[in-house]
Amino acid sequence: MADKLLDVDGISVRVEDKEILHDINLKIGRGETHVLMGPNGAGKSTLGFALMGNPRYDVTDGKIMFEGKCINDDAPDKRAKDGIFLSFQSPIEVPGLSLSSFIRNALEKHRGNRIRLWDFKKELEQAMELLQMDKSYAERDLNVGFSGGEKKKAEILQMLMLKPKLAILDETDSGLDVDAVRTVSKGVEEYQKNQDGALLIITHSTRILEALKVDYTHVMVDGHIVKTGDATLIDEINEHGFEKYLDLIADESGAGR
Amino acid sequence: MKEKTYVEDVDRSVYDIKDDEKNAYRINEGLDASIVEKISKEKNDPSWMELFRLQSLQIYNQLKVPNWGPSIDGLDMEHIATYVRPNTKMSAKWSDVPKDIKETFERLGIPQAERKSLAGVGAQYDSELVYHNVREEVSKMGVVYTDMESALKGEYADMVKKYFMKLVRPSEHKFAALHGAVWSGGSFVYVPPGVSVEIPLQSYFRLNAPGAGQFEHTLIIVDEGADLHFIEGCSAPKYNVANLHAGCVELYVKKNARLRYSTIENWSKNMYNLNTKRALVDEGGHMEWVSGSFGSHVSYLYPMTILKGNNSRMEFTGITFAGKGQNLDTGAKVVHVGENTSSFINTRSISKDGGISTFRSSVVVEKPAKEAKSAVSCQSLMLDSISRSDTVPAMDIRTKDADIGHEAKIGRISDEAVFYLMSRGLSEEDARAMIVSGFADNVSKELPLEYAVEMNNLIQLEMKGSIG
Amino acid sequence: MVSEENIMGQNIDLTVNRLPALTWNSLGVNQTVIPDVLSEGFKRITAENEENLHKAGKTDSELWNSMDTIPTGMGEDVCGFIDKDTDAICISSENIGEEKIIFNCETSGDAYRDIKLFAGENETLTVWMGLKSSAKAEGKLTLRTKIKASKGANIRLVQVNLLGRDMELVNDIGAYCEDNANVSVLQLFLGGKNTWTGLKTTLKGDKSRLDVDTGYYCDNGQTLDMNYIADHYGKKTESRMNANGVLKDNTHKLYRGTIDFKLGASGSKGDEAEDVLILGDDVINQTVPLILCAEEDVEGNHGATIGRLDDDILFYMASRGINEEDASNLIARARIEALAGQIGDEELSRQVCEYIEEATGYGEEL
Repeated sequence: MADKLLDVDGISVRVEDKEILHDINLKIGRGETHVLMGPNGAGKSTLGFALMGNPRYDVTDGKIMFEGKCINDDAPDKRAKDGIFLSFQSPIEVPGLSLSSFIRNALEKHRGNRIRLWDFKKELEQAMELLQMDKSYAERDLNVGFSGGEKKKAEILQMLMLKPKLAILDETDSGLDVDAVRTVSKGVEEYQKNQDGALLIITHSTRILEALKVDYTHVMVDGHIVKTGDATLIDEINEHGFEKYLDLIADESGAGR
Repeated sequence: MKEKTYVEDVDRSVYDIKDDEKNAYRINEGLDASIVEKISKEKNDPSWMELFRLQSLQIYNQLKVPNWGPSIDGLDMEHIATYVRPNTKMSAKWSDVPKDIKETFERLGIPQAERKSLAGVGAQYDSELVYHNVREEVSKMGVVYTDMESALKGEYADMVKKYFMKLVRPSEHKFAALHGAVWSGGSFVYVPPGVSVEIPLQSYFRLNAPGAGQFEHTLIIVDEGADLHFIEGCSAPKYNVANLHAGCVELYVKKNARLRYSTIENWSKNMYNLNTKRALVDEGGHMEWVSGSFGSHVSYLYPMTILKGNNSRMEFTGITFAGKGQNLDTGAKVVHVGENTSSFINTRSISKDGGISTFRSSVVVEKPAKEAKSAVSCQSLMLDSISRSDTVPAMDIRTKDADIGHEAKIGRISDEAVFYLMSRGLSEEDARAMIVSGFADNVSKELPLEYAVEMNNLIQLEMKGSIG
Repeated sequence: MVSEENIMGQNIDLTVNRLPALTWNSLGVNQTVIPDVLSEGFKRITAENEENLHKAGKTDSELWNSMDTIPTGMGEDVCGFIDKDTDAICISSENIGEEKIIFNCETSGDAYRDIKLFAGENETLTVWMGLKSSAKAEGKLTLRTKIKASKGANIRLVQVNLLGRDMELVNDIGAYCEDNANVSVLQLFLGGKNTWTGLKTTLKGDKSRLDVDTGYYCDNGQTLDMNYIADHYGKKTESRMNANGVLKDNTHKLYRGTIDFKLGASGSKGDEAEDVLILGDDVINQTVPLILCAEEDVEGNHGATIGRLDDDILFYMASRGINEEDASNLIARARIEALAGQIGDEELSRQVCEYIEEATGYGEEL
């Protein structure tokens, strides 16, 4: 069996004084698409931040292995250069820095050399067209005054330009209208097919998944992964919700007394 | 299009109560060493205090009045009697207090406050503490709440000597030096470690004699892990002769302790209020200021906090209302010295009828103060074009590990807001008064109920010219 | 090229940049003293290409003399000093719509010049001022610029300080607007060792407007002392003053910004914003944003943000592979480049970008 791209081995994660995630195990292979679902407050975003290395999130147990190496102590920019990408649920505004300048700089860091402006602009324009983003956004300040939908598109744009090995999408479809979801979906599809990227899609609704090929589905409740299945698990959740899994957790904690 | 609402001058008759002076001792009106010596002797000061007073007088004579801020030319120091003592000794029980003095206080509501379970009342009448009552519960906890003169000579004499005017030194400015020379009266509070004083301690000032000055000194020490809320509220009758208030408040918040110091200043419109308040906060300590400035003719008031210990914190919430004939220069100062300190300043100010309101602040973050955070927000409301509102803030930051934010806004009552309230049945006058009350809620919600009510009454008085 | 005409005098101290309303003296920001200014030995500096500048003739000297009463930001001391200049550069919109003035201090020594800009009714004038010197030149360059915008006129002044590291700059400006006039100023303070600058704008006419954008990048011992004042006299006047900059090791910056609403300026708006990114050690940052108000029907706002980059921004950057040091340099560079993009003159824009790229080590980390 081939080495997994991402191997999360029994990690627990604390924020300030509270333990949010307990004993999480997750394996993602190259090119695979995983979906992580769960009710609000389950801890799904926490997992995304912990994998990306946000200093506010403390991994207290276990190991995160990426391409066979333990990355627990790696700073977020190192993880980014190694090929992990996180699409933020609430992208940050950075006044004074244009979207295109930002992407170009990040790309130069990834590749380790300067990029010719002309080539860059062409590639950027193509990606923006795919995402139906108006060209003018390239020169606008990063995320400043962008609507929710435009912010999410800007995240996917960055993903397409940076071409990571593993993209973690945190609630990418939340707050988007029908058309925007479709467009963003297209971007993710493009990444899945033509860049052969691995995906961890964190969501509590399933709209974005309709056009994608999903390999594995995980359900998270109260900081635990309570069930792993294939794509059919998504339909089950759509029909019956998370109730069955909430009860599961309640039973287990009840039994513990 | 819209008619301006005519608002009458404040009707302050409930506060304008004068008593005849009876055999009150009064010293020469000027200010020189012999007068200071007399005061010291009268009070049976320990010798170090007599010396301290004389040294302060020397400093006073050397310092100049500030070249910034409102003019105090109307204050003639040569004609201000600095010390007036009423014809009575200090009492422990309310029933022992002389009748006319008691009546004055009764009219101002002190016995009611006492009935409402306040822990203790220290009431000042013309430079001497007349009435003092420390409730049993707090004294059992070891809390000391006494007048400054007693504290200087009793079992806490050493503690007082250690702290007295070390935080606000006479050399700071001319009126600190004056205070050092002629201070009289005031409170000393000591809260032992770990003691949480549930009910607010309060103190009440009153100025009555013509031309008398008030120089009371408040010294509060909240020891490690303790918690105290202290309320200071004041009032004085109106005279033609200028009245001066140059008090001093020194607050020590020890490790992990918390102190909330609330004030409503309602001095009458001929007072010069030159007050100096300062707090020193140790590690993990928490200092809260709540301040409402309504009265006096001229005010210089900038409570200052020194965040010395790591993880110490300060919050300042204030409101200033400058009406006709008033020039109120108020604000706050903070110095960040320790690491991981934070300060929050939130002030509102209102100017009306020719009043002048100036917000003046200083946020200093010294080089070792890593991880310092500070947020200052000041909002000013101008109610007409014969008034003034000035904002003069300053920031001095010497470390890169800081997060400092400042915002200020000035404007007028929004026509839309007035229209909205009127569309729900309020008259224009009521609507404006309601909006201004709402504007002051940053302070009123931090005060105990009876004070919030008094403050709202004051605002209604100022806005509508009738007692509500 | 520097002319040989000297101004005679002796050493003086110039008291400049006084706050319109004073604060506590102990803070040291009420005014600044430039000590020991040698007024003897100051030479009038000639602009590069001065013969070709479209200078307005002396025939309308009444017009130019009327500008003498326009108050400036740094104050009387600098004015008194420069008033002795008998050959100001006078540019009028009647002769030309845009003009570029380059002052090049090729040799060491103190130099001064008086400049006057005028735009007639409904006319437009844009003037670029580039300041440079040879790398090792030492001395003080003192410039005083007066601006007068007639009814409906638009004047834009762009100043770029790219002086060498041993030069000092004293840069005083006074502007005056009639009804419906607009004055906009863009300044980039990059070079030089010590810079003192002031700008006072008198918004006399109704509906007149002021826009000021100031950018700075200070490192290695540079100091910057500023005084910006917007005096609102007319009705419905507007002012917007933004200052945006970066402080690296061993620098001292003092920003004073005043919005003053005089009685009668009803319907006016004033906005002042300062954003300081502190990236170095041994930094002194002083900010004094004043709002003075005698008029009820106005809106005044000011905001200041001082300190380091937000943790959220740093994490976002890191998640894209950019570490803290690079993120700081990137954002510092972006600030200056954003303003460079508004210069409107390709050569000056390019010089600014080259300067900031070198200062932030662009390309070195790759």
